[in-house]
Amino acid sequence: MDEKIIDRALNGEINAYEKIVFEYERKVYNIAFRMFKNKTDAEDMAQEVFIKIYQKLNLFNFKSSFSTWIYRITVNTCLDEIRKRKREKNISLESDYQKEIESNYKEPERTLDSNEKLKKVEKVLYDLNEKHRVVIVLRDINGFSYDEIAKILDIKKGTVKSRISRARSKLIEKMELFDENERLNNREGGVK
Amino acid sequence: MKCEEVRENISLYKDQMLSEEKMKKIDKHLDNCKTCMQEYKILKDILSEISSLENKELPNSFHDNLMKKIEKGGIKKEKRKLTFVKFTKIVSPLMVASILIAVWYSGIGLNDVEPKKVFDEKKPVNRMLKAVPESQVSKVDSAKNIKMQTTSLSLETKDEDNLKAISNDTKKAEKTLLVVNNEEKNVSEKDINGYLYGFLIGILTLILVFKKIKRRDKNEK
Repeated sequence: MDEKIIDRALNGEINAYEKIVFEYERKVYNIAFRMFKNKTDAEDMAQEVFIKIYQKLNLFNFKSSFSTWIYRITVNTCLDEIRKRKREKNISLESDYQKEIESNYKEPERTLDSNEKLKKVEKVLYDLNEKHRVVIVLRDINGFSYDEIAKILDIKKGTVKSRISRARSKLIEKMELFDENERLNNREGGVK
Repeated sequence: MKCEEVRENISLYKDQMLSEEKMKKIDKHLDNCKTCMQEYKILKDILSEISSLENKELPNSFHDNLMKKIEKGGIKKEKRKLTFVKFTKIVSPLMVASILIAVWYSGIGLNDVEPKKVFDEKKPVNRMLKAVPESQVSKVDSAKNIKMQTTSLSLETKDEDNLKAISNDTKKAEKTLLVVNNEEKNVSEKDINGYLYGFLIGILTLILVFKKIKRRDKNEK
């Protein structure tokens, strides 16, 4: 991002800030979408992120990368919201998804086409806890490097490495469990 | 390399985040171990599915709504918050400085340690003399002696020259007494003033700091 545009936005030029929004809104929205399950939450989060960025623009340190700074605010806003909801409701997003997964897959046996495969992956992704989900979202959906993720999450590269490994094995574990449940459900369906 | 170690590192292997040596070892192992190869394939499949998750399009109204909120809200720029750590960082040197000034002015310096030993502070006269250096004390004594001498002499002798000389001495002695008395007065005033200055500086610093914080709070609201 051009420093001049940031400077102009800092001086209160709304047009300059709009340029910043144009540049990042899609990615911010998509990160938020992958952290939550639905469009409404993703939209609310992304809007909150850009309002926060506008308010905190004067705190941006020009020595670091502007995009990293934006994604850090995005991730932190999402994580804060997820944790807040967990505390308030005491019902995690994961358990919502578990229920959804359970209800959806009591269907008669049939082969999964590619679209359904994606849906399955998506559901398993949302079944991860937010700490693991965020590294998968950043690394495997958005393609950030390990170094970038370390900066976004403000953790050491070594921690990023172990967290990504852990998150991926959880993902595989849950996928296998999911397949197992599916097989069991189908068998029950077959008996009936 | 053992299967366990390979599986621990399989994710980093996939991203080529291992040392060259380890990469080669795992390559070799995967060529010979079907179970580990199977694990690797599962990981690759899942990750390729995940990466093929499509980017979602922004809702139509997203951008306009956001810009409206920003323009209309007249959102205030966030000020750097004065945290407790920053607060103590600013205030503590000022406090230390004011205390030092107070101590310095009040004359509780190291120089006063010795006179305290020599004089009994409970006696009011000595308390007055406390701050007067010894040389000055002796001046007072000699001046008093001379005065006494002159009064006795003036009664007994009528020698004019003597009288003149003595009266000169008396004048001198009176002057010295005056000077010494003034110094005593100055010292005791300095004592009280010192405490006052120190106290006032301390209070002023605190008032200034608290006013500044209040103003910041108001601005943030």
